[in-house]
Amino acid sequence: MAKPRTKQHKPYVGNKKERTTFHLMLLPGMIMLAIFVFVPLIGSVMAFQDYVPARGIFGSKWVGLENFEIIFSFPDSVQVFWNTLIISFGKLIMNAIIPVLFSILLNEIGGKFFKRTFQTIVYLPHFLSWVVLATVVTNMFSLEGPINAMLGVFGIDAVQFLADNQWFRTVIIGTDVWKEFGYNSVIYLAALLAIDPGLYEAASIDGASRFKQIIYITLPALMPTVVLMAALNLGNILNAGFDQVFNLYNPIVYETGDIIDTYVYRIGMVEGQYSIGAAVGLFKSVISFVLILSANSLAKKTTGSSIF
Amino acid sequence: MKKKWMKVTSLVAAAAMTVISMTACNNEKSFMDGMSDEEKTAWETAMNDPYGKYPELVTYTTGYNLTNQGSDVLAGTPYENDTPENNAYTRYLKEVLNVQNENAFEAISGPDYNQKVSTAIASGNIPDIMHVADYETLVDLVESDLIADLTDVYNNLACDTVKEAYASYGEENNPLNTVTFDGKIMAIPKTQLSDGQDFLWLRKDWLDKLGLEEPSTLEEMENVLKAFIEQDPDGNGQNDTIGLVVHSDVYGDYPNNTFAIDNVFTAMNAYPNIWVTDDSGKAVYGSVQPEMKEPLTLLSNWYKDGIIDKEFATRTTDDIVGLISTGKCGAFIGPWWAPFNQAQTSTYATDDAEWVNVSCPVGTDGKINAISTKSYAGFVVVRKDFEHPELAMKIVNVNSEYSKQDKSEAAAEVKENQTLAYFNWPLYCEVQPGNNAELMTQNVKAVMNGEKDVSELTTEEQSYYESVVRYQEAEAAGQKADAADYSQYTARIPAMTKMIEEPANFLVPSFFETTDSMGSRWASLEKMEMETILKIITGEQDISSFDSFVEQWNKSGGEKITEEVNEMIK
Repeated sequence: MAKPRTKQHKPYVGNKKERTTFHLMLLPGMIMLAIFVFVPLIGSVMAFQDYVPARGIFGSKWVGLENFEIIFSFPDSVQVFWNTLIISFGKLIMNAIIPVLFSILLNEIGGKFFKRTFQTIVYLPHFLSWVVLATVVTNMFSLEGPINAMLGVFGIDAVQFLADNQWFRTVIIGTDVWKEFGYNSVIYLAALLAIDPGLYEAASIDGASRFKQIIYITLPALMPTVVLMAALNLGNILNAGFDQVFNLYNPIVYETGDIIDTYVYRIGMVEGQYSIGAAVGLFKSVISFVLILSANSLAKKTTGSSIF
Repeated sequence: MKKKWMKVTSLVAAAAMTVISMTACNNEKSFMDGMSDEEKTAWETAMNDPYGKYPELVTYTTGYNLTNQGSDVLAGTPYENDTPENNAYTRYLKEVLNVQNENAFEAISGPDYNQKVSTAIASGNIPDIMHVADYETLVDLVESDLIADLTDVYNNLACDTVKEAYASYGEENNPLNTVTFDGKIMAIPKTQLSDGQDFLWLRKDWLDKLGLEEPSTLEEMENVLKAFIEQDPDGNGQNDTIGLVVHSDVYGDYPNNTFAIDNVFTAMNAYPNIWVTDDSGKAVYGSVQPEMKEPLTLLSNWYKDGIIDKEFATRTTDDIVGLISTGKCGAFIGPWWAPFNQAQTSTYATDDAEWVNVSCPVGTDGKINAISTKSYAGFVVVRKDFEHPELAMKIVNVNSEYSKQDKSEAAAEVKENQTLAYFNWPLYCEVQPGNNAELMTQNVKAVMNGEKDVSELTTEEQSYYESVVRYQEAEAAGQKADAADYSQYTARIPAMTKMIEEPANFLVPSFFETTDSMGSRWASLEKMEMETILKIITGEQDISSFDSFVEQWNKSGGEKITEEVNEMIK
């Protein structure tokens, strides 16, 4: 929280007794956090060990940075790293642009009923798991699927989208945006409601068109939220979406679609190499931590709002 | 809490007993010191007889394998108060051999049990007799010198059933080879039933409709598949059938991966995904051998011509089952038990499909080239210095032979518990001949031909026989049999008969296990392999890229792993 600059802005925090109650109310959450977040952090030492489950953390051999050396010596670690970054960045950008556009368009529509219905419909796919949606997507993009049937009408040859390295990332990013844009637009719709209607009134009196109003009022008002959301998501940049990719990829598109998480899954879980899996996880966390710190300070500098 | 204390005290007691008995007898026979000659003879006779009953109760510590059924299955039966130290099996062993188990640990078979074994080994304090599930653990035990040499015990005491069962796997794949270290038998291997060879499963009704013969060579197979895509076998006037469905893994886990097409590779003497012995006697990885090029070229041509499913790389197993169930495809490669697959049962019920298994594609000698599965599925080991090492062999004898022929009441109790399936033999090791499934079919057929009486069948065989009868009755009445009966009949009678009458060549892989470097390198190598194989088949890469793949494979750890494998099988 930014420090309040003037006295009259100081929020009401209650007297000492009330404060204690508030802190106590935080306690269950903090305990959960400790159990599920801080305690498992200890397991990160596995990354520096040759971990054998039967011997446990205390009995396993200490190997220093050997696991990290192994990871970086894999011929495909660079490829996997780039795939992750490209897919993630694509998602990050599209998941910012599309929901903003959608919420602005929806906001311009009159009629509460229509607005609400539409919002609910696009919101729905968010609640379906990728295990289910993967079947839908596979069928949509199969040779006899509707997408290829549509292309066929225009005389375009059928494409095996999910087995084609030119298309795979596009499909991954596109379907992710399709699934999440309804959910992501909720926060922008809320931000739109917070804009002072007086601004629009004043603008229309000055003769600004609807389009001009969007450009000069709506977009600037949304900008802090967009930047904030992007900064928050930047911490997730190395998570390109395990369940989505895992359910849609196949060896032909490893070249463009194999991401860190699917790779770690195959090494760590399928081959039982816990230490290597833990090493990659730790590596990811460190990168994410650095990214979120820098994104936060960047957001603070440019828009004045920040997460912490 | 109370229970826990009881466990602790019993453990302490067991440990104390072990210590006492160990100090009491420093050499092998000293527990007989102070006995009269008569008593000594009684003990010696018991110890040298495969089923000899000990003159006095012998207790041994062990690790008990439970099944994952959960103890509730015993509720309401006469056995609901049974415990892992007092149940039908332990009572039976006590009656036959006068032995009693004390459990150092009890766990459900699989990871739970294996972890207890690992912990016991790590502490250096293993039970007198126990079952271990994997080869690495056995090697670990031999290397840390914790287990006894069982060579004499095996030679003196193994019953005929056990000896014949091991021999049924052939000299090269004999389970005893695996447990022999420096010429010493260090464990009693539990057997793994052989799964036989894969067949080409075809819709006979389609073959008949198009006037085609059952194929056998690769060319004949190609012609049948071509006819299946071009001549509208389902008669709906549309060009919508698929030739051969292919598992997205293409090969591996022979023959358990239904829809995988290993047989196409093996017909051309390529053995992908396993370790084979090359001409110089060295173990090499099959997927990177030059023999792979020929089948890969053929498959890429088949892919181009649409003979194999164009979308196989993105299909899940469920997708494939869907294709077959809806009558879009009439050919796949699978094992003798493929009729249990929903792909077959549903087409039988709705489409009047008639499935047959064909020995195709065959190699140059007219037989299918198949790959042997592992012959062992675990090992019984005895703690070094345990005074009754012969006990392990005797229990295995009882498990595998004596109890099966015994018609006593105690044996009936054991049989009943086998269907309840909560407890197992305290030593989880039954030795069966590798071709047990074939033998069962022969017995069922003998009853069908009137050569045998139903009462001569085992309970398992009886249930198959009943299915067969129900299937035949339904068919004779012009009705569709129950799916389960259809599956039992088709798999166990016609399919199995073909397996018996048209034997395959079985190649025994030179190595089944994993090496140290495999753990960290294998995922990466496998990725490289699958990427290349799929890209070559789908035509995205030329066959010439196979050579650069092999080079890259060796450079990225494959060479090192090959060295390790050869080191391990020395």
